[in-house]
Amino acid sequence: MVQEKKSAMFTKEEELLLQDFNRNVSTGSNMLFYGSAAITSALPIWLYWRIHQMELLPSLIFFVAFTAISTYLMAMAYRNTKFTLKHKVAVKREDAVTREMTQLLADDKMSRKEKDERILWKKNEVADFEATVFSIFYNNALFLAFVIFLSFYLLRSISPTFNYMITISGTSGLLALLSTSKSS
Amino acid sequence: MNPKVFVCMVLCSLVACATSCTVQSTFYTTEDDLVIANQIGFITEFKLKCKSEINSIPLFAEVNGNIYPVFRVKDDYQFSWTEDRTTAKTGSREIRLFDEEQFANYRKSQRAGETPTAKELAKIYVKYSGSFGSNIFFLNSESFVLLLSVFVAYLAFQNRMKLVS
Repeated sequence: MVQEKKSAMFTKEEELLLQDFNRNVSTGSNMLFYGSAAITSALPIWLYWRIHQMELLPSLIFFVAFTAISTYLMAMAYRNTKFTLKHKVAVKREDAVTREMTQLLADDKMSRKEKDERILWKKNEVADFEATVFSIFYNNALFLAFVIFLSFYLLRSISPTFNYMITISGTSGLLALLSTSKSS
Repeated sequence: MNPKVFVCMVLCSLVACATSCTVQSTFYTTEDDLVIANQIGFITEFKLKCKSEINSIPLFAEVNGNIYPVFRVKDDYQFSWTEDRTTAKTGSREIRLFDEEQFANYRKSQRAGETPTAKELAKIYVKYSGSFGSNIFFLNSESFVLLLSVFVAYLAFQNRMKLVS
């Protein structure tokens, strides 16, 4: 009831603005983040199985546990990075989106307010998509570079099981930590 | 032994030698680079039959000027050695087998600084046809992949900076 009253108090434009600055992501984005994070976190299993010669079945419990931890941390990193970038992307793309939408809506007979709302909605959609895709690319690129460096160089002399545990948890933890940075 | 790591190449060679010994051998070499160990492994197993004697005599093998003890495994002999991945050349390797007496002669010549003239019981040839993934553009594979991933990460970081600025 309280929430309904509150939402009734906002105009569409205000709701879009709130959505623009909201840290929560939609269920679709969440699914995308967790799916992508699970794939990225599971990829190193192949390296440890085929190259570091870890046995697949005896190490299954480590693989499952650390893939799950890494998936959670990577999804957190995706969300935080997306939140940081979304507004910046929106600002960068604002002029282009406004120009395109103005041309598109030039012949439509609608009020100025409605046009502004549509432009705002489009701007939000473009920024959301670009920030989501870039966030996944950015975190995956860093994750794989860190994993290769740690597993094949820094921790190469320790046993594969500890190598796996430290590499996966360390890398995903570091990315989750870096994503909370407010400087950018 | 993992069949995908080691290629099993069977060489049935009957080598007649001065002491009338015949040897029948099989060998294995590393097919895929052992990225962590940085070594190429060679393993050979053989049966030795001599007219005069020999059912179980201590044997020594010489490869590339290095001497290795040969182990007896049931009815066969077996020995193995490794070479550095970066220096291991493809091609055939000649393994000379010595008994104790000839091994002593060999060591004696070595100590005297002479070219060893010891007569081997038999010779075995092990063929090494290279291993997968040794070098990519003069870099070992893990360095190449690291450079590639760092380059992609750099592009991602640069693009983020562009967006944020």
